[in-house]
Amino acid sequence: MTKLRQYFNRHNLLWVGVIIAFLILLTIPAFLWMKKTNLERAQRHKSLLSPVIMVPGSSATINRFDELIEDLNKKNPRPHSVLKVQVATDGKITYHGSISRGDNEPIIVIGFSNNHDGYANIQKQARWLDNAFYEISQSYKFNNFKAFGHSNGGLIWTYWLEHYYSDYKSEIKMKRLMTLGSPYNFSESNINRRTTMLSDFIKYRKNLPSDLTVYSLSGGRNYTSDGIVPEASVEAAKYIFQNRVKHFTQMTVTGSDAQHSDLPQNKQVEEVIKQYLLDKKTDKKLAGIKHKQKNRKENEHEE
Amino acid sequence: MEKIVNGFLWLRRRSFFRVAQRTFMILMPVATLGAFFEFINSSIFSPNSLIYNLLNFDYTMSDQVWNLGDAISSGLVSVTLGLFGLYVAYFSAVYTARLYHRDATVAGISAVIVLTFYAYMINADNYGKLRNMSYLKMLGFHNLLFAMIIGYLVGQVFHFLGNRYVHVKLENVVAVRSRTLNSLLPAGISVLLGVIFSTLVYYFKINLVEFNYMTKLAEQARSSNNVLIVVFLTILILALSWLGIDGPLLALTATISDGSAVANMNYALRHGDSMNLPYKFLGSSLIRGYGIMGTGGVILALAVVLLLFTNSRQIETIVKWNLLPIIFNSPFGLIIGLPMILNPLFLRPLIFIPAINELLAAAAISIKLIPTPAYPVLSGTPGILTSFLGTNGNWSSFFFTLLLFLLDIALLIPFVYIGIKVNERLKEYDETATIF
Repeated sequence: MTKLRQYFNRHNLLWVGVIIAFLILLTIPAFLWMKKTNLERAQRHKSLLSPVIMVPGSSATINRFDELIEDLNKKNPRPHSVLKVQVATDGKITYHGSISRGDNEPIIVIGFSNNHDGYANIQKQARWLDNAFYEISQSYKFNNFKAFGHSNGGLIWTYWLEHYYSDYKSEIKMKRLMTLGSPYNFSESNINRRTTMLSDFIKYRKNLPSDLTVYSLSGGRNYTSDGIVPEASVEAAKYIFQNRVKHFTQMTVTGSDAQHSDLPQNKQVEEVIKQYLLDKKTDKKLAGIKHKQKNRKENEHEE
Repeated sequence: MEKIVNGFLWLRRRSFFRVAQRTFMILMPVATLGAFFEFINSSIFSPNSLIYNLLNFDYTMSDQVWNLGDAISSGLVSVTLGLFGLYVAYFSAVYTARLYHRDATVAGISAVIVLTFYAYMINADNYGKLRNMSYLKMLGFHNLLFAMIIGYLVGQVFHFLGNRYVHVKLENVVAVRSRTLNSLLPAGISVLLGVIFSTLVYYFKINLVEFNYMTKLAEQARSSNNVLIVVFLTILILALSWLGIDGPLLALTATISDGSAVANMNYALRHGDSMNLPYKFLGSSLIRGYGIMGTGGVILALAVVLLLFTNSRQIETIVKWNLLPIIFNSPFGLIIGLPMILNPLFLRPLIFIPAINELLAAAAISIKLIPTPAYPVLSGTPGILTSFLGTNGNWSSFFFTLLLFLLDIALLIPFVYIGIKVNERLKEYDETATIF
């Protein structure tokens, strides 16, 4: 060991000291930051909150779904509380209503001051939707949600999914998306004439989450349209979602209240929302068994 | 001690090792530059890095600055580390040819042609050809051994077929022409051999360095919950890395999480700490948290030892230049600068110290002294802090890692001492040579 001592560099002790000091200096903020993030992560992970977020169509306000929500809450022992969010053209957000404590499936309606039609506006509205979504996801730590969009609202959701969802994907999951009379090809009834918007939606479809379930509802006033939107324009959704998301289902509602603007108040639509969009109180154990059986079937299929 | 020193001396005098040492030595600045910008790229301009999040660059740094910084730093990493294999092939041929007094420059260019052609051929079926990622991978620092061997073999072709050549300082056109003509035979033969070899590889679809297969090895180590398998694979992967095959180690320490790691994290989030996880001895947690400590923890221990015990000013300078990148998990500058790759002196500490760390950590975990890291750790987290932050700030884990670090320092001192002795003896043998 005496031999080793002759090679000892006393002057470099300072360097080792600097390393240690630097590491300690870094440890303190890193520790505080980590505690905060892990707490948030745990809160989000444990959260049972699974809101339904609704976006109205063009020319409609945040009050567009009042009647629908009222009907959904009728005879419901645990009514959904409602939070309405208004985004101004400068991105400023105002809140109306609130989410009740203990309500695990609140309804959040996000509307825009500029609620005009057109692809350029839809892109802007998607950005405003993202502003609102970010704020909501920060204040209410949910890890999954369901999306609902009437008319252009469905288009805004689709644009958001393709261009903004990736920022949240790892922490927040969109479980289901339901669009109601959403004109994916605007007023064009010939699918061979694709609007810019539809081409863009198809172009970026690879950004859509592969574990999403999508329902596309259309209204049938006659055999070709709901009075405003051509059925072919709603059906154009299949070029975007089919074989890209996990499940894509199309449904057409006819009879009374099947006109485009009446659709949110349509009783059949209400039933479909209850049946497919909202969470059902199922026996968790049973669901687990079913899930396993499903997996086994899929495995067999692969073999 | 005398015997070990003599053993290293003997190995050190073999031509391949002499060439390897010289090649790495001359490429030290390139590696250091690359490591520095890798640190800047992955620790400052990466949204998943510690510094980025601590300083909240999302808001405090303008997009323009970020784009520019990201472009510059990733660009410099691509041309230094991304083409490192190319440089290695060139200098390996150059120094082999010089060893036998042959035309070194032409040998170097021949080796570059052979390596790039080989890289092209193994991807000839793919689209994009030159832009193909695996083409570039072949030229990067993932597979230095292969580049080194190609350079060495080309140099040997020049040794046996080339004419004796003494480099002159200033040559006129006639001299250059006669020089080229003189090297035509060995250059042509080595390129021809390279073409034949590459074509055989292409034709029979031989995968000499199958990256997927190597990455599988790392995946096995990451997802295993069996301490012995984890330790064994760590040793194997680190031995490959010592040989200059870096792909598996890179995959081993990557920040991605596999299924069992996610299960661990979910358990930890639900219970508030990472004791009693479903996969207590998970490879990825053991290796990253305690074994290698990030990717630079054990190398940092070596840097500290070299700062405290060395008789070489040059080594001190190299270590000091590389300190910052090493702290933030970019140790490549020191790995090449010493060098550690293909250096017999560092084989044993490099592969056994992480294994010892893992065994001790596994023992401590099984008696519930420390928890298993399960929380996500950001990139660019200093190696020693990986386990601390990965256990949501568990202090016993922090002190345990600190003790491991001190133990590593103690274990490294004898090797550095042997290195000093070998260096002294080498000085008698060859005025300019060093083992590190």
